[in-house]
Amino acid sequence: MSVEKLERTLIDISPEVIEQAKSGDADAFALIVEAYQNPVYNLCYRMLYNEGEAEDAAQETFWKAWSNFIKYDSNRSFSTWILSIAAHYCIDQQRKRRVPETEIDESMEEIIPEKSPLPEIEVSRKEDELRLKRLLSNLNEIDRAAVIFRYWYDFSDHEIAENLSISESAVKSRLFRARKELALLWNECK
Amino acid sequence: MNTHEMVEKWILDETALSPEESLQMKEHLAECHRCYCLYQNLKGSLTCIKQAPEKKPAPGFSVRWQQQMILRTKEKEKTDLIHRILKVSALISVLSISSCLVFFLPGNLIKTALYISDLLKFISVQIHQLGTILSVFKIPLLFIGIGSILLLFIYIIVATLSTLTIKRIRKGADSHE
Repeated sequence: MSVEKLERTLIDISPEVIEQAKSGDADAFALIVEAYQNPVYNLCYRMLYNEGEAEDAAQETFWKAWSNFIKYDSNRSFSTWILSIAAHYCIDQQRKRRVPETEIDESMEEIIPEKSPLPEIEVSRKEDELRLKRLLSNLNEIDRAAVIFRYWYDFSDHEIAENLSISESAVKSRLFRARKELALLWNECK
Repeated sequence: MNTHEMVEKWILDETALSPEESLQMKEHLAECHRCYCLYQNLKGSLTCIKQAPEKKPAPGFSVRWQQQMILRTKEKEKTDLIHRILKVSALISVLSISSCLVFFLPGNLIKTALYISDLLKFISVQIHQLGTILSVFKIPLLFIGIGSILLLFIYIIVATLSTLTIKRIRKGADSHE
């Protein structure tokens, strides 16, 4: 999903609404929150893998966007800008707390109990989700953000670099390293 | 760089390959188990990521946002006010300290003492003048003061009497019933 595709899948947010929100119109900003809550929350969830923390991070992202809207450059894509705020916030949060690896095994028991009453599809979906969590949780914060931007939102190297405030060559090397790590982790997950 | 390393780089780089390079990679993957595993594992992990559904927040996210915004705006206003007060206080402190330093320098000490004595003299003159102005209105002010006290006294008597009368009437009505 490139920025253009991402913009299209969201509820139509006209540049006028963005301009109104920029000038301090809370109702216009409420429309923006309504439109961007899913991609922002999804990014926060994939970065933090905790529903409560993802909710807080998404709320924090919108608050940061609202209180710093004056800094938003209208020539830049709004999606890129808001996802960049979310990514930076999540990277900081991730650095503050390091998830112990044992937590993953504990959550496996929580998700799939021995005698699961759930249908097979549901169990398989949960297994996929857990596998994904293992894959992403083992990546370094910035590498994880780069992978999410590339494979969820289909961002280019340039867009990822802009979002994470790093150079394009750094994006390339981080993605290279992340892919190697993912391949190794996938082998372990199987 | 041997073929092994080159193919590994092609797999992990995800760069577009020429038809010849593609063929070379295909041939290598058919005979090299390690590179084939790397290719398959990467493909599997990326498919897992790409196919994962979008996570959505719990219902009512926008409502929670509105509530948080109101609370945070109030908090921000309070913090801004405190910051403003602190800034003004800091400015006043800096100005006071710097003026003290200037006025109480050994060279300025006599001058400062003279300024202070002049200032005190000026204040005493102003107080004296204010006393003179007030003495002109002494008698009217006395009348107004006594009148106000009398009016207040009458009001208290009337209010007490009327309350007592109302209570008596209510008691009479209750006993009649």
